[in-house]
Amino acid sequence: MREVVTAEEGEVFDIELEESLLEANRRLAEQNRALLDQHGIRAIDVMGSVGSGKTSLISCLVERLKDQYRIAYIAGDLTTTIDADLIARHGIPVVQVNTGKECHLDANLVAKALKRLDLASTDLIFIENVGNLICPAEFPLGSHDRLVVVSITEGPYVVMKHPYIFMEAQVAVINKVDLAEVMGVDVGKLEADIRAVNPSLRTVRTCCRTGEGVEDVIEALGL
Amino acid sequence: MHEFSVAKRLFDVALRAALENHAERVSEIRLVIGRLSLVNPDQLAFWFRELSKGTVLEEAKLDIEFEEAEVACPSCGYRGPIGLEDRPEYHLVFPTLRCPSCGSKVKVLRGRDCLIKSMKVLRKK
Ligand SMILES: Nc1nc2c(ncn2[C@@H]2O[C@H](COP(=O)(O)OP(=O)(O)O)[C@@H](O)[C@H]2O)c(=O)[nH]1
Ligand SMILES: [Mg+2]
Ligand SMILES: [Zn+2]
Repeated sequence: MREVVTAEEGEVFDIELEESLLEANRRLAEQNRALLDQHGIRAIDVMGSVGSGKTSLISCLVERLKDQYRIAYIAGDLTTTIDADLIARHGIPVVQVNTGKECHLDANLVAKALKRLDLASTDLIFIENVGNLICPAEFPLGSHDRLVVVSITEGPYVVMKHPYIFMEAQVAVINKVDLAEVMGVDVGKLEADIRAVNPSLRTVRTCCRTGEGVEDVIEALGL
Repeated sequence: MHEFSVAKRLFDVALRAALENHAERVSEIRLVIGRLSLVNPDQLAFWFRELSKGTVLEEAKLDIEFEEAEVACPSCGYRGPIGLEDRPEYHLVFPTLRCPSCGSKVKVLRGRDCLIKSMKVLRKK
């Protein structure tokens, strides 16, 4: 702290702070990661717009992987339990996190959710982030991978308009390819846009209605 | 969107610093927002105004500076501004992690954060 000016009615000080406003979340994310690693758990943060197919994809993944891994699911939703109920039908542990009006999950909410899971008997956790292509990018949760789901129905500009989330992810899933023709969307162009934003992102085409491409997602995640 | 949570954090950090320094009031807060950060400055200022009503932070002017994004390429050694991808057919320019010189993936060095740099406080003699 150093004095700068001495005003008549008092003193004016400059206080140096240099404090990141995003740091608190990052620190908590690191703690989550440490906790997961300590239990040998792999966690995957699934991001994407409302309706892009996050829950459908997780359901397909759980279906195929549940004999191989002890899977748990954390559902981030504004207020409902629809997704949680759907995934619970696979007979795996499910924690619902109601974020209220928040536009993303944060590391603190995930830390609370982890407390409600039996970590000693879990190998793999899917975390479904709140439906939003913008905000989750800024809030790491401590997951090992971040996967973003975009769907054909979001139109041809979706990647160009939301580049940031693709910078933070390791895997991108282009879902609802069954609708590409009907929607007049060129999937190859979407893939090119994704590569343009982040050349190291693995991109997979899926149709979660039929399960097409889900094996490729598993491979892209190295599961 | 998530500016409320960032504004709340800003409010908490600034208020704590103000109290620790026995501030009568805070006249200015300097912030740095990275170009790759998703924090919208107007929304941040709005929520900060709301939160600071009736506190020593009430009259603080937010002085926001933007930090350009800087990247480094592990493959070719490029270091400099982030690459931009131009799609003239859509009138769109967007940032890319593709190295402007060799095309591999770069690392972001700066421009991602949102920080409170300093503040000016007034203290009674
Ligand atoms: N046609 C088609 N519909 C899909 C596909 N995947 C998901 N859907 C549908 O899209 C809607 C939203 O999916 P959901 O998984 O709930 O999206 P979320 O909001 O991202 O979790 C549901 O009606 C799904 O049945 C797909 O590959 N093709
Ligand atoms: Mg869902
Ligand atoms: Zn390079």
